[in-house]
Amino acid sequence: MQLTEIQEQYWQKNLNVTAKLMGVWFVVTFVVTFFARDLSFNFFGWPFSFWMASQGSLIIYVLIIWYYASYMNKIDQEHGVAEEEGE
Amino acid sequence: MAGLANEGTGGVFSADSQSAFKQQLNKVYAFYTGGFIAFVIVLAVLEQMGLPRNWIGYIFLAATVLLYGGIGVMSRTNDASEYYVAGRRVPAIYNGMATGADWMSAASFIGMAGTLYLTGYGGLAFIMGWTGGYCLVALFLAPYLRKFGQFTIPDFLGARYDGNLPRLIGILAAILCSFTYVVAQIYGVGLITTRLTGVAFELGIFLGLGGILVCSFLGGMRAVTWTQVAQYIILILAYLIPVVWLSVKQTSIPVPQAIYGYQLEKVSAKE
Repeated sequence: MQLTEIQEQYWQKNLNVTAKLMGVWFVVTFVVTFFARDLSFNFFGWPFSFWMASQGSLIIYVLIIWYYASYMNKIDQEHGVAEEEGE
Repeated sequence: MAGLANEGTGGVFSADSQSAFKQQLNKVYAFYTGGFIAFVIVLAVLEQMGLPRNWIGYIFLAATVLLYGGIGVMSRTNDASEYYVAGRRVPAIYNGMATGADWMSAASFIGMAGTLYLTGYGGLAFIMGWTGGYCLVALFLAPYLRKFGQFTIPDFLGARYDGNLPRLIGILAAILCSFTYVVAQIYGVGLITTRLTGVAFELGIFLGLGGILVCSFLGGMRAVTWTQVAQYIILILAYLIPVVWLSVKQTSIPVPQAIYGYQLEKVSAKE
């Protein structure tokens, strides 16, 4: 299947945003957890790494999904591949 | 629940019908939330008047099973797209509520506090795992599966690699994952049923399974989504009211998320 130039651009943007968000995801999930002992400074009464695991990372996960969804909606429209129903 | 029953046959909907659908949903669920609160108040009044505790258990259990069963029966459908993906037109907020109710499932509702108490930081791996997992689903699976237009991952594997062997492997993987999960859930369902009604544990499991079957078998994903939204409202009230109450009692700040770090500090100091 031959892709048009617009489709190529769209796919490139898709890959970029996925890679960036997964980078953030990786740092939050694995890097912070790996250095948990070193990151235990006081954060509003919590050891920071404990707060990250119980609240911070969850907030960031939700933000990642929200950002991905809104970004993809935007480029869907720009590249004319959006579903027709509209929001 | 008229809004759940009078839908079309799936496919693309105009923006107009989508917003009318949304309004109808808002109305139905606002009514439902009011009804639930009234139900709890009536039960509280009955308890004050001396209704025995196990009767409250029976009433609560019967009411919830009837409610979810009712939604399940009302959402029954023959349409494949309705059955597998709820017609692909659940508004984002409602889908979020349904997903949230899955997140706060039986296992986490009864198990999480104890797990964290016993294992400390290590127990948070569960929370991060199943929340972080949503990111993987949202970024790598869900959008492509939706664009692909079929319903399940085995469908996708079958079409992508052209054959039934990949499809079979996909099915086995799905069964393996959900089996591990479902065992914990069913155990939780059995525990709750036993606790609320006093029936034997084994019987409790089958009662719970029967309820799940009624809810999901007739209406598929459509029924599951709408029962999950109904559950979400109950769960979020049941989670928030006690902790907000506790935090007001102890610190007179009604935002437990913000202050429980300080409270934990005090607890550790006392220990």
